Amino acid sequence: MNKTSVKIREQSHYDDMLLALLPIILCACVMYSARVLLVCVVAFLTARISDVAMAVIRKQEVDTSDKSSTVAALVFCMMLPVSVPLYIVVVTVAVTVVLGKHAFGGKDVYPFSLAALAMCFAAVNWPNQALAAVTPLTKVSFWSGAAESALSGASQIKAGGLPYVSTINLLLGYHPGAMGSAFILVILSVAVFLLVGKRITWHIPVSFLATCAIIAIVFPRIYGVSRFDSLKLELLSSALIFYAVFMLNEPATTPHNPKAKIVFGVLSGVLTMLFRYFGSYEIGGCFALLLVNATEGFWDRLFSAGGIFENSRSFKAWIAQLGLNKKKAAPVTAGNVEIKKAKKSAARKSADKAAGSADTGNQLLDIISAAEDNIDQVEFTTRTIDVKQALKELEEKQKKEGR
Amino acid sequence: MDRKTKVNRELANWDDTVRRRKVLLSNPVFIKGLALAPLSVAATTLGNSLMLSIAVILILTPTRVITSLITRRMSVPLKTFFYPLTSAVVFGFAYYAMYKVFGTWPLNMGAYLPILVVDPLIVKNFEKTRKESFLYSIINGLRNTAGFVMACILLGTIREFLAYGSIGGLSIISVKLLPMARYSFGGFLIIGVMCALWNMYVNIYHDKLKKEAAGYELNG
Amino acid sequence: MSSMVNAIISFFSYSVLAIGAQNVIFIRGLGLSGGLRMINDPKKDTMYFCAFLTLFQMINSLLVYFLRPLIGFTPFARYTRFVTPVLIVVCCTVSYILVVFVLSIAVQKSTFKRMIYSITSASINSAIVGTIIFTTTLGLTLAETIGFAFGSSVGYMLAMLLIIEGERKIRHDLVPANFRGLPITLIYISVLAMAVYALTGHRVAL
Repeated sequence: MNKTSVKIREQSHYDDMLLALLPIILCACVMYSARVLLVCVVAFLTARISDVAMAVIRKQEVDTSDKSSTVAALVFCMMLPVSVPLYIVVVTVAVTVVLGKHAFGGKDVYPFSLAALAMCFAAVNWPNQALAAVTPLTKVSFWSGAAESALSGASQIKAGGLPYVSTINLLLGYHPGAMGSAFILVILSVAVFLLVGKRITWHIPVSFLATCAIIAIVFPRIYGVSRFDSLKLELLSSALIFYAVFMLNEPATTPHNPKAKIVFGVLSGVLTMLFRYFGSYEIGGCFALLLVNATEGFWDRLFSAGGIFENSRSFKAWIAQLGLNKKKAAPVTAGNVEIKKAKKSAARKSADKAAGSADTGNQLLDIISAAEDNIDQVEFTTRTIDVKQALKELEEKQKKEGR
Repeated sequence: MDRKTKVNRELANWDDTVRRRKVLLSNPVFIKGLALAPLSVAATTLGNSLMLSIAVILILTPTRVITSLITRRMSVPLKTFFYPLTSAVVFGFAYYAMYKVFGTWPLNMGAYLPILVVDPLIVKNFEKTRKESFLYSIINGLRNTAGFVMACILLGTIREFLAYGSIGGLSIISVKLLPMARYSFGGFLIIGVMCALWNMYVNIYHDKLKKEAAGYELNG
Repeated sequence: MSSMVNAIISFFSYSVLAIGAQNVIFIRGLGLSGGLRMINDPKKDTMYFCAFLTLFQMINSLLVYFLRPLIGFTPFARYTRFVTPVLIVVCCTVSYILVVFVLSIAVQKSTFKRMIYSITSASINSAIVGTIIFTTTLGLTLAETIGFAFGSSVGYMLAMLLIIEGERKIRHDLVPANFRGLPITLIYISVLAMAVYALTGHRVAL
């Protein structure tokens, strides 16, 4: 798969994600009033303006094909209650896009899921407003967002209670909660659409949900009901399925290798349930995802060709894979090898030939040694030195000096 | 010295220029990343920042001066422990003096005053093999102190304003703009952004000097 | 027997506390300056650094635990709080000398040469001093002290692993020039710290 086809694939991913969010936004509008649209439009515009502003500041072309910010903004909105103040949406989306995306380099190179980062930022700063829940089909003030609040199912479970919601209402999302993360049937339909269109793969969502389910069955925290009911409430009364479809499949922040994806999904599931059981916030999945995003590259390296699970390796090589031994893990490029060979024999011979003196040869070796030091010091660049180019530069320098 | 010579000299010895200007160009916090622990966790208000600043004023320069006199012939491994030992002794006196003047306020800072004893801001010089003269140790100590104090006060003010809407305990606005600024992760974020802004200032200053030098060259 | 069981439970519970809720880097910010300088120094080996940090953390915590009450028998009894940092530095020096002496005999010269860069910075830093001050201020028992010290160093190692992994992702030319290096590393650490904070929501105990 070449770079162009990967890029087209990722662009289509975000286009289809936007398409997939449409039915959820529509359902949210029906359940919670037109204010849903207002919040979504504000988030969308903030994300777009932030992207454009950063492009202008960085003196780059505005990339109209980059929809990662807007998708993240809308996914973030769907996890908020309809009563959320607009200033929270604006500040959170702006900070997330500027610091969470562009500060790290921009499109496709940011390390953390933008939607998860935005949700965590809002939850930590304004927990009462960002984690509130609104009763569906009640009056909501369009501009201020004043509405009849209630406890969401996840909050009730966290507090040790038992949400009295029927299974059909859980599946339809007809219970107090966030704007769009509770419409299980709609989300599952959308997931099928994305799977069939190959915009997401099954590895991460299935491994994530299976892990959450196993932990919910083996270590239930809801008492007074059967394990199956406990499992049902854990999976359906919170945004786990929403996370599995919309947040755990972001191309920039998840592994590419299938086995790595499965491990990523399992780890996400374990940490999510850990945060849900012992953490301070019911949105444990978002915080867990940030931590698991930090390990994404490691799993890809481990399962890629040449990784420890592909070939049998000694312990030292495995440690080198972990990246702990900085010196040994330094990439050996063709350029480095060329330099080492040229250093002793070819450089001295050709340098002497070019300038006809040992002094010039030493100067050339100094240039090469300094370049080697730079390559050794900076681990992850792949600068190489062309010996012929170095000779040319030396000759030009000498001509200028009038030798 | 006229402006043109000054500009050319600063550009020609840019590394030296940066090293000497410890308050702005080579700020120990925002450029070198020293003393991050007390600043990110303890410097949440202007008051706490003042306590940290007073502690550094009382410890940094005296430690540097004493160690420059005594460690002239010591090897690096010996210096590794002599520096913190000297700073620990100096800190003991300084801590007691602060307790007598401010009461329990410095004690409420917990471990974040005592860890200054081994912070690279105070003791990082032990890695250098170059001997430091008495006068140079005083000048450099005062420069580093000034750089840290400026960064600390600025950070404490900004964090208190963002987290509580007040400065020095005086309420300025009723809204808390960024409540997370009072936590350690908020501190890391704000210090990171301040570091980026500082880098921008240094780069702008460097570019400005280059343009000025180019202008002088054109005009002859 | 029950006191032994209680001690083991205390050890594990304080270890977990130190790894998570009071993580030495993400929550308490200790050892961060030194850790970042260690990452950028090619002479220092992270594996050795973390291993020696654990060793020195345990040794120094025990030394200070047993020696600090003896200050009460000296003329400095009234000033224990102000003299404790001096005691900690002295203990670090003693443990450093002991460890270097043992390693210089037991280990090959080439390996020892590689280790020594890491030993020096691992033997005395704010992660060790801060943790010891915390345990002495709280008045923890022996098992709790050892557990907290062990958990702190394990938490430090896990945090450094995450940061080193992150450095791979953020060290490229696409990061804006003004953010390269320290700024983007701190922003990266702030996100991880926010995630760890959510596990318990505890404020850092000063």
